[in-house]
Amino acid sequence: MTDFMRIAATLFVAISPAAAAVAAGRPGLHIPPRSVMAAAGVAMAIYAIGGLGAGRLLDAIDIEPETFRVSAGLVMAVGGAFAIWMGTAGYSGELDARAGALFPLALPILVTPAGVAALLSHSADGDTGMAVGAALAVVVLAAVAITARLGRFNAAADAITRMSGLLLIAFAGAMIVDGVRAV
Amino acid sequence: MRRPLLLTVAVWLVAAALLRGTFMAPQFCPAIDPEGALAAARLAATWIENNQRADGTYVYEYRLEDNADLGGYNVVRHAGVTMSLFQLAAGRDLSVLPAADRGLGWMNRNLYRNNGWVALQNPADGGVQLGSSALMLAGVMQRRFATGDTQYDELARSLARGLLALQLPDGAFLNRWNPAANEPIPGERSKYATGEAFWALTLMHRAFPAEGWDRPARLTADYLALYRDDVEQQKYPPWADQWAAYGLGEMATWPLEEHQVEYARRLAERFGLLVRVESQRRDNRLSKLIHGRQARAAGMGTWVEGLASLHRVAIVDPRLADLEGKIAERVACAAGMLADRQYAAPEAAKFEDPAHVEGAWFTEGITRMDDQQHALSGLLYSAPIIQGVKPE
Repeated sequence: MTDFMRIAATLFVAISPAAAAVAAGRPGLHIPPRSVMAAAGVAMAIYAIGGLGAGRLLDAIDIEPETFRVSAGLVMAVGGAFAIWMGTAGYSGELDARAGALFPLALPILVTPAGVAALLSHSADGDTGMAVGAALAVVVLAAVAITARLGRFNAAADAITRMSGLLLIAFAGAMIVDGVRAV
Repeated sequence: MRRPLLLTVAVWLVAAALLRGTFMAPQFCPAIDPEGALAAARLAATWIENNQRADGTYVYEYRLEDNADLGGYNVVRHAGVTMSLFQLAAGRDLSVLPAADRGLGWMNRNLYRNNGWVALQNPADGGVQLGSSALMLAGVMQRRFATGDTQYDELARSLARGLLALQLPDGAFLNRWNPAANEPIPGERSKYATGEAFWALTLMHRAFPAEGWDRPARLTADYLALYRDDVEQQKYPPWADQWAAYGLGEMATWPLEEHQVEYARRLAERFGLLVRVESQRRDNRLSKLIHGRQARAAGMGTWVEGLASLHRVAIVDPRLADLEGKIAERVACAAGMLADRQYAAPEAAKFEDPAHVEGAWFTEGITRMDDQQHALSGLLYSAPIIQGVKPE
């Protein structure tokens, strides 16, 4: 697996388009595409800024990238466990069709703690371009999944979400081990 | 919408705060330059000199609170402390030679002689321990590198033969010789002494390359790299063995075999982790509760010694070149922490007996002579790395 594939796979399960589709695809709910686009724009901006500023952020909080990997892995593991348990993104409250794009579409459905942790970790390790590129691509996929309104495919999305959660835990474990084993 | 938003943000903030307090606590690496590292190493040597008795032994443990010499002694550590002075001498500070030679003199007066070999013997109980002889031999070798003086060459060969009397066919060493039975004590290995003997043998090969000391050294290198952690049931392998790292540093140009390179990498990773974790510790109750007590200087010093040796391997061997920068960072961080925690002269002057304090590191109010030994060695070898000088 190439570095980009590994990073993209990690971000795919950390942001989880399937989970976003499940969270935003409740029966009877219609979210205007304009809100989805706005939410995706906000999420992409947050991921881009996070990725580009990861090194400076870790410097500012006095954390080495290798040490951060362990914390990122823990956050991802919790995110994975949540996805397996709930089968949806990190928000299960009311979802108002008129609600702003910022909450809950951008945060926390598209910008997930696991996604941010994975992005920061990979970017701080020097893979900024690949990490940001992969995150933006996954956000676009998630936005498409939300607008597509899966309907009868919701059950499949639920299953994919839970499987993504499992994969996320596996990636998280690898990241923790990598952080512990790093010089 | 406001309530769920606030709840989400609150959960994120609490999680972030928990992480910040635990795994993501800030890492603190005090700045240090090469001169500062060497000055701290010299100050550690000053403590050793000030706390040496006329017979060549040193104050073993000292308690700050009531200015108490706590007594006790350890022959292996005597050899180690003396060796560290010779390391400093080999680093071109010959001012420590008189104290180091007094320490060597004490060892020379306590030799156990057998058929063609010698070993350092504990005068208190007659015990003959591998580590004592190994570190004595390492000290004699450092003295030779420092001065070019060959008067102890025969002693060195005899000590090295004494080490081999305890070597097993798998490359490991038994820890003790039984003088009464005139045979090794079977079944007892030491997680420290095998590495010490290994390093001493590699130094013998540097000094006497035509005499074949590399053969037993290679055998032990293989044991350390491939089998030791299993055979000796290390719970969290690899055992953070700075003596093994010293030996690998010596072997870097032999060159190392693939499994030895892999072992060097694992050692570097372990030392690096230890330094990173230590840099998150503070001297307060909360930090102690969450991250554990700050490591004693003897421990931290060994990490720097190990990393500095592996830095040499990373420079010489392209298979470890990717580690060079990170190892250098960790060395500088640990050296900075060591220098920062050392009792310098102004601080020492506040106490009843500054000579027992100046240049020392205290853990829970107590210093032990090997705190100064390992910190000295680590700081000494950190200086060129911090300066960016490549080893010869």
